[in-house]
This record gives sequence, structure tokens and C-alpha cells, in this order.
Amino acid sequence: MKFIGKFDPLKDEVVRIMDKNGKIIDEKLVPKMTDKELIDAYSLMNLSRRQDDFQNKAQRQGRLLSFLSSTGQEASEIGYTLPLIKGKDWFSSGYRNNAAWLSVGMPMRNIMLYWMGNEYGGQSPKGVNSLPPNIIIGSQFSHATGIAFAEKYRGTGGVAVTTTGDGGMSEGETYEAMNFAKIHELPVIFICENNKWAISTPYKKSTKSLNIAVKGIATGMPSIKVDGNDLLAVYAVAKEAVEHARSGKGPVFIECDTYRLGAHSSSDNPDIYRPKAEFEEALKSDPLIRMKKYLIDKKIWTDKKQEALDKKQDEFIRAEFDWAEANKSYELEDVFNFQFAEKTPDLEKQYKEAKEFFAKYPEVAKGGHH
Amino acid sequence: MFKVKFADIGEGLTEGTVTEVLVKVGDQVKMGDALFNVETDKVTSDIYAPVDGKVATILIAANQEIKVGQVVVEIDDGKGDAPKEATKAKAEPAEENASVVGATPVSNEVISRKAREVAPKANIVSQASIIDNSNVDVKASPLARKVAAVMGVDLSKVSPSGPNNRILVSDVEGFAANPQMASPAIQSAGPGPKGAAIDYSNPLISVPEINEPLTFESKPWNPIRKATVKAMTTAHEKVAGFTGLRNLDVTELVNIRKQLKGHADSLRVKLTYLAFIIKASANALRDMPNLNVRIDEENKAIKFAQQINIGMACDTPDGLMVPVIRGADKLSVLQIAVKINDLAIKARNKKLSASEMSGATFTVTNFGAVGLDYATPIVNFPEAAILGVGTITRAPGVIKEEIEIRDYMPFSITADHKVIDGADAGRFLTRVAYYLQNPATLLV
Amino acid sequence: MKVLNNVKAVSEALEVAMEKWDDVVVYGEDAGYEGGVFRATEGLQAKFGEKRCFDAPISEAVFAGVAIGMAVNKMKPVVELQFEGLGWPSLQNILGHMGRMRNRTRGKYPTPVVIRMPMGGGIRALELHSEAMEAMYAHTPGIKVVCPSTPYDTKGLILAAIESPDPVIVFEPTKLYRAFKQEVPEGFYTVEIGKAFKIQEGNDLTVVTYGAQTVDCQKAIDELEEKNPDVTIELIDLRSIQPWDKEMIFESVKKTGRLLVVHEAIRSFSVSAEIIASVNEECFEYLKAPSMRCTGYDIVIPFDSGEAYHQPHPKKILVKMEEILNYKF
Repeated sequence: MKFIGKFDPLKDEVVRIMDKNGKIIDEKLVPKMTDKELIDAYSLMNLSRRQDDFQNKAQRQGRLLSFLSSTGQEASEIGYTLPLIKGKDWFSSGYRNNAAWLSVGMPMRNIMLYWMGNEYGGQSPKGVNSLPPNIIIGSQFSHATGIAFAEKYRGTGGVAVTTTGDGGMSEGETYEAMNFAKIHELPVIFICENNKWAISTPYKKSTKSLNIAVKGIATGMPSIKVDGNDLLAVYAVAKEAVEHARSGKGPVFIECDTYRLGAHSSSDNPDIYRPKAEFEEALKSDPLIRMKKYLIDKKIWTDKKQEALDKKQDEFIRAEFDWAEANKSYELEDVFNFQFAEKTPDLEKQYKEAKEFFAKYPEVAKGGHH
Repeated sequence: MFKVKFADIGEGLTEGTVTEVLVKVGDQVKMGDALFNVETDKVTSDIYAPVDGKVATILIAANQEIKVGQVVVEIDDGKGDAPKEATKAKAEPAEENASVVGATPVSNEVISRKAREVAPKANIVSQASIIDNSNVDVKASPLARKVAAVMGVDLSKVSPSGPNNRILVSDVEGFAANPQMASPAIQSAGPGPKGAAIDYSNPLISVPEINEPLTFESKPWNPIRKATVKAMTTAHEKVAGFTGLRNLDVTELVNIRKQLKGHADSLRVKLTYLAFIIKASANALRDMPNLNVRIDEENKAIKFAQQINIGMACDTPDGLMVPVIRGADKLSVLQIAVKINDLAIKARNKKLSASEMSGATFTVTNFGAVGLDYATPIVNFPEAAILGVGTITRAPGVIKEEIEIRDYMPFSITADHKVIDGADAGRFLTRVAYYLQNPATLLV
Repeated sequence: MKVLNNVKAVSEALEVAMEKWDDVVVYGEDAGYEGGVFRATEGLQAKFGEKRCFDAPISEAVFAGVAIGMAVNKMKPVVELQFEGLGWPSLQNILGHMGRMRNRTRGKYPTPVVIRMPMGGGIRALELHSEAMEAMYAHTPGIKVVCPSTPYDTKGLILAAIESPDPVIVFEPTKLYRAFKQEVPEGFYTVEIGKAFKIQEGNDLTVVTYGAQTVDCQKAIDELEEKNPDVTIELIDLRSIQPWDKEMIFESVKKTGRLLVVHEAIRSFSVSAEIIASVNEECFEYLKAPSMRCTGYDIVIPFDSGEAYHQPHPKKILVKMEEILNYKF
């Protein structure tokens, strides 16, 4: 245990492995990662960032709904999901988890389909255990706890990871879920991505706590604060936490200290409430810049490679988007078929009624404002 | 060709100023490339190409004011000339469409609070094709309306018998059976609108106070009254009267009387229903002698009469007379009819002989003549039973699953329970019914 | 007279109330500095200070409960839930405490809390942002429920709700927040809770609706009346769901003999079920056709791309109206 129990949230100690310029602070703490693993992790961060940018433009054209970007939080989301084993472990997400979804194996096309307003986008593919985006804040903690309960009960060895923001930690349910998980010593990792803003409410107005990490201490579970823009730190701590949980020692609570560089959603204008100076300061801690500098220092990355990666990823993003647009059509059956295992007779009747109506007036199904 | 319109980019703006155009005609652009930059009250933003293609036309320049919905650039996307719209431009977005999630529709349209008023519909049948306005302003249960529609009844002509002047299914059926009997529907009181509350505690009519003491004028009994008082007192003391009631479908009887009426008239015989009823009673007494009896309390015996003599109650100006048709079982319907007529005239003229006034073994009384449907006639002691008949009415009846208009006649049988069991009284009436509902049996 | 849209009418009402009563406080997620996600509380913090208009942490169970405590202690809290569906953690306090405290303390501690929540679909928002569960709240004893559709009613009903000695839930149809404007009187006035508004008179059919469907119904009725000039439809905006204006609706149904209820909430166990059951009890012998409804289906409200299947649409309403009018009685 290099981290758990060694960094004290009550003293506001933070796990940090590299500084803002990608320089290693403490070599002893650097996690074992091959060059390929490092580049793959960085590529995922880059992909998520470029997808956010693309979706912002597409939303400006009315081709997506308001969506919630992970911009600024890529190191946290990639860091805490990398230690997970696909098909064995679980992800119970919040709604600002683009990078984490990509990392746990959600196809980008699904994510895009979801932001086009189609529930099929929220369905994880075979071999990926991920719940759809959670909208009512806090419940994802309970669901992860239940999933972990079942893993422990059956002895299947899986671990569940869940995450929320600093705002979400105000929901009583997050504490209740953590307390329950500790009582039963369940294999679940609770993450708070403290990005400093709950829509327009700043972190300091939602809690007077020394930090978020101390909120786990009352439950009795190990709690730790980590620099959420330092991929190496988040990954190292999360890996230790996952091992801790998988070995039956119970849950862990991790605060990732990060920053929401984007808007709350693409309909939101943060300039209204966000101090300009704070934002400009936060830009200097961009996790992508830090990681890129680290890789260039390590001599395993160049601007040329970056250019090639960007181009390849942009083409991929565009292809995924085209697929999602081509496949977003929404059949009437889809709104009836998943209410119950089998439609009740009354629902069947309503379906027939709707089917007759829409066969006669297909223009009504087009949506938009009427 | 794709026409790029300046779209509402989510802040609810209506217009902006172009700060810089970033492409020129002939440039190849990819979806997501910035085309130009625009400044609005809220935000400065790049506007991106929605499609891949070659810039064909640029309709804007730096410092130009542009409005949402305006075509700003045309891009040749190789999709032919049909102009497509990047987004549905809003006609007139009004003000900041601020919502952090989603987009609320925006408009400057001003609505008024005044409700549209229409004149209440007169109670006439509208010509509108979509709507059937018959039976509009009446109260009736939905089922009654349904029945009225099936039977083709105009509900406005039907008298309501239900609570709150509500028309019931039976009212509709009764009307259908006997339209001329229906009285116009009771109109709600007062000149006020229908349903307006009426203050009944303040009537507009004055009522005099009347405080006369109670006084009498005395008239002595005539002989008939004396006899009636005596007979009724005796009956009241000695008879344990039990009355059974039944409404008989006499449609066949009505038909056969209609058929025979001309024939009877040609024989100068006044053929009444009573003749059939007396004949049917006589036949039933023949079949069931246990009703043709008298009580013998002294010997604790029941005396079975060997003759069938039927009394017929006659209402006369001086009172009730009961002349007797002797051997009614031996007479035909027409012969009984002659007897009825003869005896009724004699009764009214007080010409009845003693033998014509005695010896009855059973009596029939027609209170239908005075407007009653049912009554509990009093046994003419020492006889043991009396049959009463009421008015014939027409009403819907169910015949082989079909509703038909039928004729009904109510019957009352009162029997002295001391000598005739209720069940037997019932069986007797059933027997009478058998003859009357199969009236041909009375003619053979 | 000012010309305002619905969302500005909310701000107006709150501003008037905060001026009139010192103990009115307004709070909710983002309701302070930013003025709420729809800007319904815009400007209130600037005008009255953070003490009286402030952001609440994301903890609806708590802040509904806190409002109950405030009201017990003689304050008048006006709580904003960001969206109906996001506010469900508050149900523990709304269903379990808010409508009961007066009864449990035998009148000593009434809890005249006002909870405002944006409701309904049609704004291209995310999952759980289009809920319409007004029947659940109306089904809870001790709580009044209103759903204004116009700026005049919005301001008047919110002020009535704040003035009310009882807890009131105010549903604000998001689709109508900025959909039109109306002249609204300055200063304080109220619209009586429990009274419907007759949008237009008619003789042949009573249409009862509330919220965003008032607009859909008007469109449908215009189309029907244009096609059938002899037919007139009576349109009633319920405005107040619990209590509701039985008098106006019964009187109207007795006149027209026909009833259609329209709402976007799902069909089973809904507001329309209550209205139709009551009409059946009270107006039975006046009915010329079965009372019908045009509602959402019994389904989880579809995400944006499928929402049009679920929402009442003028065409759906028109088809139902014709079905009722063509019913032979």
C-alpha cells in the first residue's frame, strides 16, 4: 500500500506524482506502465477531448441535444477506469463521463446516439458492464453498492466503480450508499470528481468541508485525495483501491481534485458565473497538456505524432457520428417494447392505438416543436 | 447545394454582427470547420460548416448585421440543388432563451385573457354533419338515450318519471308503446334559465288563512247501502282475504275480440272483454272446483258448489249491485255477453229480480272501468273468491328476444284463505290466464 | 401593465412576494446567483441579497425538509426544484411530511411551503427532464397542486400559493416558459386556487386540459371548428389540479353532454381518470357520449428522439374530438 492510509485527507494531503509541467515529483510513486500503456491512456484522453469539441460544434448545428462534456477531467476518468477488467468489473456512471465511458468500452457511436436522444445509445455492448448515464444525481452510488453486494455474495470477484461531482456529494444518498457498502465491506470504489462547479454553484458554496475526501472517513472506509489532473496519480491510487476492494478489504473513497473546463452542458454559458481569472488559471492545469509534456520528456511522443493522432481520431469521430446520424431513427415499437418483459394487454391496446394513429399521421412523429 | 442558415445557437439570440469571414468561395470545407465568426449580445462564437463540400456562395461580409434564419453561406455538397436547411430557423425568437439543459421554444406572440364567448345553442336540430343534435336539452341516462335512438323516439316528447325529471328507459319504452298517452315533459318552473336556483321560500302567490270548524250533513242509508254495509261487515269479520296480482299479456284476446266484434254486432250482441273473462273464470272453476266453494263453519266442512254461477259487480248510481250469471260454464261467450248487457241495464234501472241477485258461487269485478289497474277486491261472502280486472294498457314486451308492442290486462284474485290456499288462488289465476291467452279455447 | 412571458411572470411573482412579506425566502439549485437554470429567479439575489435568495446544494430531500421546518417556524419558503424528475429525492418530505404536519399537530404547525417545479416535455432536454407526475402529488392529502399556463395565471397562482395557509406545489410547463407573452398587472394580485379558466365557450364538447396542452388543444379546436362551422367547443384550462373546479366542469359537461380531458402525463391513474370518474358520478344523465381522454401512453417518457410519439399533439386531440362528436347516442 503506497497510498491508502499514507495520505491523510484530514491534513488535506494530496497524492501527486507529476507537476503541472509533467515533471515527476516522486519517482517511488510512479506506477508501472509500459510506454504503450502510457500512450494508449493519453490517446484516450485526447480522443475524448476531441469528441467533446466535435460534439459542441454538432450541437451548434442542432444535430445533438445538450450534452455534458468531460473536458478537463480526462485524467481522472481514464485514470480510475484503466485498472478495471472489461466484462468482469462494473461502471455505474454519472452523466459527465465521456472519457470514462470510452475507457470502459462504450462505443463512441453509442454515446453519440445517446446525445441524439435515443435510449439505444445508453445500452452497453456485450462484454461491457456499464449502466447508462445517471440523471438523478446520487443514485449511481446506490446502484454500484448493490452491484458490488451481488459480486461479493456470489464470490465472482468483480469490482464496481462509481463517480459523481462535488455537487453530487451534497445528496444524502451518496453518504448512505457509502455507509452501506462499508457495513458489508463491499468491493466498490467511490469517486468524487471535484470539478469545482455544480452548474453555477461553486464548490465552496456547497460544502464547508476541508475537502471532499474527509466525507468518506465517517463511514470508516479508507479515503484519499488525489490530483485529478495527474493521470499517473489517479491511475496509481485507483489501481491500489481496486486491488484493495477485490481482495475483500471493502470499499475505498477517492476525491479527484480537478476542474470543469467546459460548460455544464452545451446549452449553458459559464461566463455568466465563472470568474475569468479562475478559469484561466485552471487552463494551466489542463491534464492533456501535463500528460503530453511528460510523454515528450520521456521521448516517446512528438508533435508530429500528435498531429497524426489528431487527424486519425478526427476521422474516426466523424465516421462514428455519421453512423449515429444514419442509425438514430426511432421506431414506435421502441417506446412500448421495453416497459415490461411482456406488454400488458392494456399496453398492447395502447400500442395498437398509437400504431394506427401514426400510420395515418406519420408527420406527427417527426418531433420538434409543433 | 446546402444553404447554411444563421441558426439560433442556443442562447436565444435573434441577430448578430459578422466579425470575420473565415472562408472564401472555392474553399473545400469539412463539417466542423469554422465558416465565420459572429458577435452577439451574449457571446462571440464561430459558426461551423454543417457539411463537407466546396464553398459556392458567401452572402455575408465583416461588420454586416445578420438575423437568425438568414442564409449566410452556400456549400456545394454534391447533393444536387434541393436546398436543405441546417436547422429549423425560428421565425421570431424573442429574448434570451436561457436554460442550462434543453431549449425552451421562444416567441413574442402576445395572448389575451378574454375568453371567447358563444351564444348558447337553441334547442333545434343543427345541420352540422359532424354532430347529431337531437335530444339535446333533456335529462336522460345514456342508456335511455341509446334505447331512444334504437326505437326512434324523440326524447323531447317523452314524460320523465325518474328522479330530477330524468327520462328512464321505461319512459322511452312506454312512449314507444303508446305515444298518444305521453304528456308533454314537465317544464322546470320559473322564467329563469334552466338549472338556475329558484327560491321556493318566497312564492309570488298569496295564500288565504282558512279556519272553518269541521261540520257534517247527514244522509240516511238507502237499501243498497244497507245491504253493502251488512255484506262488507260480514266479509270483514268472516273472510281472511288474500289477494294475488298479475299482469296478463292479453294481445291474443284483443285480437280475437277485434275479429269477432263485427260478427257480434251483426247479431246485436255487445261483445265486451268481460264476457271472455267470465267465460274463462267459469272454465277455470270447472277445472278447479276447490275455488267454487263455501265455508261451513258449523260442520267444519267445505261445501263444493255443484253449479258455476258467476256474480258480476256493477257500479250503479245508487251503489254496488252484484247480479248473477247462472251456469256460466254452460254458456258461450256470446251468450254471456248478452247476459252481461241485460243484467247491467237491469241493475242500473233497479229491475233485478231476487233470483238474479243470489246464488253466486264466484264473483268478477271490473274496476278497470273506473280507472284502476289493480285493487284488492273484497270477497262477496259466503262465496270464497273474487276476480278483479283492470284497464288494458299497451306496453313493450319481449317476444322471442324482440321488443314488441303488446296489450296487458292486470288481474287481482282475492280468496278466503280459510278455505282456499294462496297457492290454489295462484293456480286458478294461471288457469284463467291460460284461457285468456289462448282465447280460441273459450270458443270451442 | 407589463407584457411578460411565463418565466418572467414567475420572477415578478417572487419579487412582489419578497417585497410584500419579509419572511419569504427563495432557494434551489442554482437559484441564487445564476437565477436558476431557466432564469426564473433571475435578479432576486441581486435585489434582496443572498440571505433571502440563495443556491441550495444538490440535496432535494433535505431542502424540501428544511422548507417544512422553516414553515413550522413561521417563514414562507419558496423552493425551486430544478426539474420535476430531478426533484424526486424530495418525495420523502413532500409525500411523508409536508401535507401531514398540520394534521399530526392538530393544527398547531401548518406547513405552508411552496415548491415550484418545471414539468413536462417538448424542450429537447435529457432523460428525466420531461416528467409529468402531477397526479402523484394531487393524490397526496394535505397538498394543493396548481399548473398555470399563462403569464397572468402564473403570477397570480404563485402569489396565491405563497399567501395560502397550505402547502402548494406549482407545476410550471417548461415548454411554455417563453412560448408567448401576455399583459400582466403590476404589483400584487392573486388567482384563486381551485378555479379553472374558460378559454372559450362552446356548446358541443367540453375539453379540459392544463399546462402545455392548452396550446395544443387550441390548435386542434381551431382546425375542427374551421372544418365544422356549426360546432363549437368549450375549452377549459384547469389551472388548479387539487382542488379542481368541479363546478365549472360539471356545468360545462351538463351543457355540452360530452367531455375530453387532455394531458401529457401517462394515462392510467391520472388526473383525467379523476375528472372522468367525477363527471360520471355527477353528470351521468347528461352524457351523450363516453367521456374520453387524450394522454401520454403508459410508458417511460421516451428520450428526445421518441418523445413525439408520446406527447399529445393537435392531430391526436383532433382525432379524439371527432370520435366523441361522432358518437351516436
